[in-house]
Amino acid sequence: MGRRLERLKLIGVAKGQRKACEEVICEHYKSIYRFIVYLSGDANISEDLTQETFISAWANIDQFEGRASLKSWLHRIAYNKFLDSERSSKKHSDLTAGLKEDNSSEQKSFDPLHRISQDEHSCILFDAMHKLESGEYVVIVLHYMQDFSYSEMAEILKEPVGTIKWRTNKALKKLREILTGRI
Amino acid sequence: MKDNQNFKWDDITLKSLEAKLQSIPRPDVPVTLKEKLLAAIPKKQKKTVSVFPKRPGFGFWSFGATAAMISILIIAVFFNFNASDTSHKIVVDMNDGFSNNFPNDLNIPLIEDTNYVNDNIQLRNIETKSALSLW
Repeated sequence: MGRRLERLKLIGVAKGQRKACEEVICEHYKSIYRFIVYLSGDANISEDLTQETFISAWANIDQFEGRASLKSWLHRIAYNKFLDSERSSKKHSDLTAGLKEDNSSEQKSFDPLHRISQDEHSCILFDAMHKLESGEYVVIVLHYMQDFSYSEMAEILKEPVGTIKWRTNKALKKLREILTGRI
Repeated sequence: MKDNQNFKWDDITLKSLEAKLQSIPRPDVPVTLKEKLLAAIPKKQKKTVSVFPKRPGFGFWSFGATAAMISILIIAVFFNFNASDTSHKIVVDMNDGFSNNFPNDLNIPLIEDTNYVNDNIQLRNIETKSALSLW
């Protein structure tokens, strides 16, 4: 029933109905933004990529096949946008490696992770998570922090469900080893 | 807070680690973001989204079903065509005592493709359609 309503909402989006678009934004923008924050750790990048995600979603709404939920589809777009930005920023940093300037004076106007940094345990956990490989980190974020099921994660990462389960389990064990000081 | 101070990472089980991960505070979302996203909604777009989601492998199965239907139709037409040619030949020899008195004219409208051999009444090649042709 939920899927059916979601589908009807999508038809509204495809027809250019503003109300349908607004509903989709209101329902998903926070989740998308947080997902990118977890990945990038940067407020500005996250904001830009969230906007790009929705622009891309409006442009390609007819390509949404309905196999996955709209939430998973949007997260997939967001993840691809993040990977693209990572690649381009890496390229950019390679080019400007010799001209690197000290950006520490740049003040961050908004820190989305300040609540995490205020809590000691969360801070330790978050630091440990960053010691994981990117593929392990993303499954932990999706499963435990974004509350996605394994099948939804498989849709987002375009990998078999079994692989996702195995990787999540492996990442969790590795995270415990990092926290207990074995790694 | 007290629980946090007493907590030791060395003793952590996978279950409690899962619980810890789920309890990490969610990042804040900037207030202006929603407005920016709403402002970026396209004015008009005409795209088509099907009410029914595509099933995985639906194209393959629909192609297979169509191909099967077409091949069944072709086979049916082929057999039907052949069936009209395969006639069951029934030879009715009526060289009995009554042959001379048999009313020839009455037979003609009742039996198709009859051959008369000699003067005797010998009916050949009565075509009957097979069950396949009827089908």
